[in-house]
Amino acid sequence: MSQYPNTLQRKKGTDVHNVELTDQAGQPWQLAGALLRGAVVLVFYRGDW
Amino acid sequence: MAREYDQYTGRGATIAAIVVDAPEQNAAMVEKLALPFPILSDPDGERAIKPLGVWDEEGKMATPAIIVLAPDGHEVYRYAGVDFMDRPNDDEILEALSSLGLPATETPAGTIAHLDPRPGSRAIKLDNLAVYMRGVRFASMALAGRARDPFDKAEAERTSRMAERYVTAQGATLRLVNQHAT
Repeated sequence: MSQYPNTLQRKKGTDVHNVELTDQAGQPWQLAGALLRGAVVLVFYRGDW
Repeated sequence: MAREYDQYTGRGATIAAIVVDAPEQNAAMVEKLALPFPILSDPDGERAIKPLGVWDEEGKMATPAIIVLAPDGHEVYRYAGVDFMDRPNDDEILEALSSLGLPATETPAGTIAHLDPRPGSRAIKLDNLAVYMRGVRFASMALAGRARDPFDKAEAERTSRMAERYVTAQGATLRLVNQHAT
């Protein structure tokens, strides 16, 4: 695990299966669909600042 | 991470990046870095960034973080960075994935979108990243040498190692991008 104390928590009652986003081609992407293929590594980053 | 994608698929995972940027910017980024995985847009953070608890209210963007979900959706690993360059070592993520004992993921070939690269005006150019990160590396090494507090010393040393990994990854990415170009 990271040596840094982690204070960020998932919101209570969040069902990740409902997460739907838009990919770089403008197409819908469903987390539930990705999970059908296996584990999913979500990489959050700050953006093009 | 992108350069070791087969390490992830070999452990039964896929990767998806999530950011507040628009799909057009993300298309440019996928192209610029020759990413083998999608970048997903969550402009106001309401769909994934906030529900997963990695929203930076001050910056109105995601905090740099990595979350690993098992196929049933439960969280098996989480790393939230303290600043823009703070990333975990791939090894810890791969270890979390290995512990799930999943079969390798099937990956469709040739998923890289091809659009004209249009990186934002303020983004560091890929060619310059190694120079910048070498600077970070030496500065953090110097800080580690001066630090009296053990926590600060450990953080400075960790930053230095992180910068070193960026330099390595930049080299690997440049080689890959050049391969794509020829």
